Amino acid sequence: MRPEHWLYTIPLRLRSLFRWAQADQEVDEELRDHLERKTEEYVAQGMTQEKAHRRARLDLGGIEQTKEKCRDARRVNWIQDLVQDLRYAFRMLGKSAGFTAVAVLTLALGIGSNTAIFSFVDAVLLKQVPVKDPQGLVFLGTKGQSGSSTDHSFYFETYERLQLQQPFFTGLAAFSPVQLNVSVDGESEPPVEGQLVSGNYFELLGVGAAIGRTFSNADDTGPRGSPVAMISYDYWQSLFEGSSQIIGKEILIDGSRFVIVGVTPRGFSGLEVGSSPNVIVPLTMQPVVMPDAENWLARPRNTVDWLRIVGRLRSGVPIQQAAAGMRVIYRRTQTQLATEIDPNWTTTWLKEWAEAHLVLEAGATGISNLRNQFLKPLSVLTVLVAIVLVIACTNIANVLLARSSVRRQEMAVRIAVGAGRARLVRQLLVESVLLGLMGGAFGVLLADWGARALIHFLSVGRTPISIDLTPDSRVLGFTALASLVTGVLTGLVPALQSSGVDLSPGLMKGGYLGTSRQVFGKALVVSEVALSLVLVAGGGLFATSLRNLSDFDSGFQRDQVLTVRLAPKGSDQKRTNANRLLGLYQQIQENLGSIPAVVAVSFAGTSPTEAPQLRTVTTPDGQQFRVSSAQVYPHYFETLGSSILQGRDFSNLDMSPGAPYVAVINDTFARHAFRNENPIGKKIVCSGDQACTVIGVVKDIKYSSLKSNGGAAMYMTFLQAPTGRGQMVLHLRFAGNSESVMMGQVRQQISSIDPNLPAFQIQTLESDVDAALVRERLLALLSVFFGGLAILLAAVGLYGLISHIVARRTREIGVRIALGASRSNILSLVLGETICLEGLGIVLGVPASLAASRFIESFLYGLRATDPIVMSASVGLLTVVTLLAGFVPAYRAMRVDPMVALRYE
Amino acid sequence: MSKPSDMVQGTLDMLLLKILALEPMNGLSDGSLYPALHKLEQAGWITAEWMTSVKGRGAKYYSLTRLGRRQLEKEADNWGRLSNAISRVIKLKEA
Repeated sequence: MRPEHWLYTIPLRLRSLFRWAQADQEVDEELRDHLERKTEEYVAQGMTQEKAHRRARLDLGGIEQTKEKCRDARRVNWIQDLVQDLRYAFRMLGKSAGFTAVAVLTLALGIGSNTAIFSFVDAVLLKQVPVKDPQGLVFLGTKGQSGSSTDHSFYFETYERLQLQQPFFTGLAAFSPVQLNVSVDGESEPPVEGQLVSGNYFELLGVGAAIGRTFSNADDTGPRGSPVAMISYDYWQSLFEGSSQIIGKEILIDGSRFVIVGVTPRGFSGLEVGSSPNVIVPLTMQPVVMPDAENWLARPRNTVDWLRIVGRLRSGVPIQQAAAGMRVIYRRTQTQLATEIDPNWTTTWLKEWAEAHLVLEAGATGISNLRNQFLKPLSVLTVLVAIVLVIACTNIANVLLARSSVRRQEMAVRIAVGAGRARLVRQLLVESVLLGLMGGAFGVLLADWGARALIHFLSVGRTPISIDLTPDSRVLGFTALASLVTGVLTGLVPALQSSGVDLSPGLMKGGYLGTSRQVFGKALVVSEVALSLVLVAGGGLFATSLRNLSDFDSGFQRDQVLTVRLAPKGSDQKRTNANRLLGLYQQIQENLGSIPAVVAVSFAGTSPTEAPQLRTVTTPDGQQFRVSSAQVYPHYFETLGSSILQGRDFSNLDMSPGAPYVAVINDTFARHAFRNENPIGKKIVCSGDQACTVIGVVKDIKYSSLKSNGGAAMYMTFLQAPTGRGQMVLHLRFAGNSESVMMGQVRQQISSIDPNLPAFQIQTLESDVDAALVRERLLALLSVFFGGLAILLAAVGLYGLISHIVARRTREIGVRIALGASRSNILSLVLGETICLEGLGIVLGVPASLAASRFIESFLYGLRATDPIVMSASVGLLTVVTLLAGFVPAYRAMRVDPMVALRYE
Repeated sequence: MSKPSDMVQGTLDMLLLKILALEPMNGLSDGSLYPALHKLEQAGWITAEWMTSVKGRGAKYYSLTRLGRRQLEKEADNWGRLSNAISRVIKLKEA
C-alpha cells in the first residue's frame, strides 16, 4: 500500500480498535436511520406503521447479522476476539485461584531454571565484547601436542618480537590482570582488580574514553613508561560520584603517583569475560605497580608468562592464513629467545617449548577461563533444566486435561450457542498461553535471583567472578519463546480434546467420561515418572561422585591446615635479595612454629589445588620423563600430612647456598623410573643440566583437579629450582585450636615480622579444596535440586491424576462397596492403578537413565555411570514418593460412603 | 469463495464508487449494502460525514475520496478491458 493510503486507513483502524463502542454505535444509528426511512417509505405507500416497520426490518435481513458484517468489514475483529478471550481467560483463571497459583509456580520454576542457566550461557559464551567490529579480533594462544587446553599467556619478549615481525594484523595488543592497591587523597581503598594494557590497546579495540582520553603508544614507551591511569566507569561512579574533575587527579597506586587521564566507557570491562578491571595502567608500569614482583619487562631474563595477546586481522586476511604464518614466526621467536635468555637453560627451554605451537582463536566474545571450565557442565545443566521444563509442562497439561473434563458442560453450551471449534481451541489456548506467560514473568524473577545465587556460589575461588547478567534481548527473547512454547504445548492437546466434545452427553449432567482422555493422561504421568527417574539418577550420580572426590585419599590431609599467600618485595629468590628473603622466610617459619598449637610450617610455590609445572627429567639410564615439579621448603610433607615412604625430607642444610642438589620424588615416579631398585642416592638430571640426588620417596599427592591420578612428580628446594617466584604459599598445620583463632594468630605474627609483607587469602586447605571442586559441587547441587523438583512434580502429577480418577469413579466405588467389596479391595484397586503407572514409568525410565548417563561419564569420579547402587536407590526413592502420592487418593476412595456416593448425581 | 462471486464483489465495489461519484448520498435503498459501504470506508475510498438531514435527523452522508476516485478509474479501466475482451470472444463467429 502507498503511504498516502495509510494516511486514510490507519486512523480508521485505530478508531475501530480503540473506539469500537463508538463505531458500533454509529453503525447502530445508521441502520436505525435506514429503518426509519424505509418505514416512512412504506407508510407513504399506504401500510400501517406497524406493518411498514416489520417490512423494513425484513428487507434488511437481520439487524444483528448486518452489524456483524459491518464489524467484519472493519477488519480488527480478531483483536477484539483476542481481548475478549483474554478477559475470559483471566476470569476463568481467577475463578480457580488455587489451580492458577500452582500452575504458574510450576511453570515459573521450569521456565525460571531454563532462563537462569541460559543467561549464564549467554553471559559466558554468547555475548560479544563491546568493542568496534568484534568479529575482527583474534586471540593468540599456545597448545601442547596432545590436544590439551589452550594456554593464553606469553612472555613480554615474545609479545614484542611477534608484534615487530607479523604482517597479518593491523596490530597486536597485550594486557594482563593485576591486583592494585589504590589510595585516594591519602585514604587507602580496598585492593582492586586492575589491568596492565599496551599503549595501542584501546586504539586497536576501537574503544574511546567516556571522559578524558585513552592511552596512546606514547604512554607506554621508555624504560618506566609514564604514570598515567584510566579508571572504569563503575569505579568512577562509585568512588568519584561521576565527577568530571577527576581528569588530571593524582592517585597513589602501590605507593607511586599516577595521574588519571580518562574513564573507560560504560559497560566496557575489557576482553576477559568474568573479570572487571577498575584501574588500568600502561604495560610498562608493571614494575611500578608490582613492587613486590620481579621486573617482567627486563631483558633478557623475562621468563614469566603473564601477557594475553589480542590482534585485529587486516581486512582480507583469512584467519587460517594468519594462523599458519604466525606459527612459523612464533617458533622462530621462541628458538631465538631460548638461546638469548640464559645459555645455561637453553636446552631446558627448548625442550619445554618444543611441544607448544601457536594457535589463533576468534575473539568476538572475548576470552575466558570460565569458558573452558564451565562449557561442559553448562551443557549438562542445559539438558537438565530442559527436562525439568518438559516435566512441568506435562504436569500442567495433565491438570488441564482433568479440568477439561470438568468443563465439558461449559464447552457443550458454547458449541450449542454457535461457537466454532476453532474458536474454542483458540479460547483454551489463550488460557494456557496466558498461564505460560505468567509463569515466564515469574520465571524471569526467579531466574534473576537464581543466576545471582549461582554466581555467588561460583565465586568461592581466589578471584571473584563478575559477569554481566543483565538480561539482554537474547535472554528475554529466549524466555518469551520458552513461555509461549510452554503455553502452547501444555494447552494444545487438552484444548483439542475438550473442544471435540460430543454435544448430547456433554449437556447432560456430568456426562460419561471418554476413555481417550484418561489414556493420554496416564501416558503423560508415565513419561513424567520416567523423566524424573533420569533426573534423580543423574543427581545421585553427581552427588556420589562429589562425595567420592571429597573423601578419597588425595595424599594429603585437608583438615587443620592453613594456606596463606605471601608476596614479599623482590621475591626473586635465586637472583636478588636471596639472603634477605631466606632470612625472612626462616624467621616466619621459626616464629609461626613457636605458636603452641602449630605442628609444622612450610612454604611451596603453589597450593595442592593448583597445577604444578611440568618438567622433563632424565634418569641415570637415559630415560626421559615428563613430571610435575614443585618447589618447596623443608617440612612440606609433614605439614601436608603426607607420608615419606623411603629416605628423608628436605632439611635446612639443603637450603644453604652451595649445598648439593637434591630432589624428592613420588611413588609413581619411583616405580616407573627405578622399578625394583632403590631410588635413594640415584642421580637424576632435573635442574637444567644439573644432576640432583634423590633423597626421598613420598606417597603420591594429587594436585590440581584431584581427579587426575597425579602421575610422576618431583620436588626440589626453592633455591635449587630454575625459576624465581613472585609469590609463595605458606602451609601451616595446627592442632587443638579453632581455625579462626589460628588465622588471627598467623596474621598477627606475620605483620609483626614485616608490617609491609602482604599476606592474603588465609584459608583452610579444606576450603581451598572445596573451591577447586566448585564445578563438581555446582553440578551435584543443581542436579540434586532439579532431581528433587522432578520427583516432586511427578508426585503432584500422579496425585492429581489418581485423585481425578477416584473422583470420576466415586459412584462406581460406592456401588462396589454397597455390593459388598471390602475397603481393602478398594484400596488395592486404586493403589494397583498407581503401581501400574509408576511401574511402567520406571521400566521406561531405567534404560533412558542408563542411556543418558553415558554422556556424563566423564564428570564422574570413582563410580561408573551405570552404578547399580545409585540406580536402585533412585528407583527406590521414586517408588516411595509416588506410592505416597497415590496412597492419599486411594485412602480417600476407601473411605467413600456408599450412600453419599450413590446420591451424588 | 469461488471466482465468480469475487468478480461480482469487485463490481459491486465499483458500482458503489460510481454511484457516490455521481453525487454524495445518504443511505441506500437496499440495507444489505451497508457492509459493502463499510468496507469501502475502511479501505479509505469513501468518507462518511454526519449531517443534519432535511427532517432534522442525524444522517450519514457518503462521498468519494481522492483515493476512491483513482480506484474507480482503475476499476473502470479494468472493467472496460475485461468487458471488451469478453464481448470480442462472444462475437467470434463459429466456424
